[in-house]
Amino acid sequence: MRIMLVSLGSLAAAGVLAFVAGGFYDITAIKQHPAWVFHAIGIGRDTLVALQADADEVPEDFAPVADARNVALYRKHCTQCHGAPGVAPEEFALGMMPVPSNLVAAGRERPPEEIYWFIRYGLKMSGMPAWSMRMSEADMWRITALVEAFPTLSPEAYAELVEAGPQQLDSMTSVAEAGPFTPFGNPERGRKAMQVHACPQCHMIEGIVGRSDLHVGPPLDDAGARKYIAGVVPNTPENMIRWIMHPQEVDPLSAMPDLGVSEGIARDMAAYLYAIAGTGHASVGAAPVDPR
Amino acid sequence: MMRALILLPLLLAGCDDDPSAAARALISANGCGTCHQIPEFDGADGVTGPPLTAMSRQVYVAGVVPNTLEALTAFIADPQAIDPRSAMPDLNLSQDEARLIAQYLYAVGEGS
Repeated sequence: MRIMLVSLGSLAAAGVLAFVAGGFYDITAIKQHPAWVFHAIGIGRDTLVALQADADEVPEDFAPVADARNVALYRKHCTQCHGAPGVAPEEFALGMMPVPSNLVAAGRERPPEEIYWFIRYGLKMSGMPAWSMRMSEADMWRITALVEAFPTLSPEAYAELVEAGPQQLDSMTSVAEAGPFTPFGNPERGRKAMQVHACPQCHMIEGIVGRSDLHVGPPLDDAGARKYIAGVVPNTPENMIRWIMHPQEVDPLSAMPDLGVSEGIARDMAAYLYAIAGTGHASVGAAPVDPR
Repeated sequence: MMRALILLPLLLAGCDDDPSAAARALISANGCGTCHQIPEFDGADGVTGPPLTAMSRQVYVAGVVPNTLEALTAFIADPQAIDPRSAMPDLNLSQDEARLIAQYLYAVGEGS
């Protein structure tokens, strides 16, 4: 019986592989999945989101709010892909697959905890990023409040709020308060933070799944143990944190970009780097200690 | 034709002058392995600078310029000309010596 199941399973897997590898399944962004696949994905996603979103408590004073501040936040982080009442998404987003959801409809159909869930955790392979650790809790709830208010907001009223608000938010306002500053870094939070700051786009990092032949930046497995950071400054916890936050202050020529990492998060990332390198001060303390 | 026949043994003899052996001698003499991991090199396991184990695949040299054989050669010959803040010491290598080392690093390790 078991052998039969295993062979049936293998046959099915081989069939799927041949189907996809043989070019019979369209993986381009030109064409949507067949209707039944599209609907099946939607049902699966909504079932899981409904189950998981219950875990995050909606603040007691939560209410749908469309004001200039929430709109400014939304314009900085969301309009590019989702558009807004009467506003199209940016050019690049029009060709995304799946097409980013219309959030007026989402506001009508989904309770606040689900909107918050999508903002905080993102959704794999949908293009929706996780804002966790890059946006404050308060701001994620502010955007949730605006989305919940969208169904009662006319395009004209939205345009007035855009006019009334700051045109460009200081990019760091929301990020700086995203991670609480703690005197001791938390390696596990550092690991998660590295994922949502796109570190694996350039670096191979122990404990984070990614390509095993990626050589844009150096592998970070031994970064905590290396004598120099960026080949330029001695490796101390304080230098590591400064490097992660502001690479060009350490080396103006460096290809490593400034990712807007807040100090608390940078400390956590440093703690993780020291942890995987096994240098003995995984918890990066307030007082810098030479790792060597 | 005649000339080619005469030259052929000379060319073959030239192969004994293994450039990778010359590069290895330079790497060894300059102690590159005290700071760097270098493939196929006993004892080259330093962690002061980055590992040189996949140099042909590296996108940047020293994290500052696009990786080409020219750029790598230039950096080995005169690191501070590429990045004034680099901790990599100037080893007073000639362009030809630097090129031999660069070619060796491209030829060994991952992606070679």
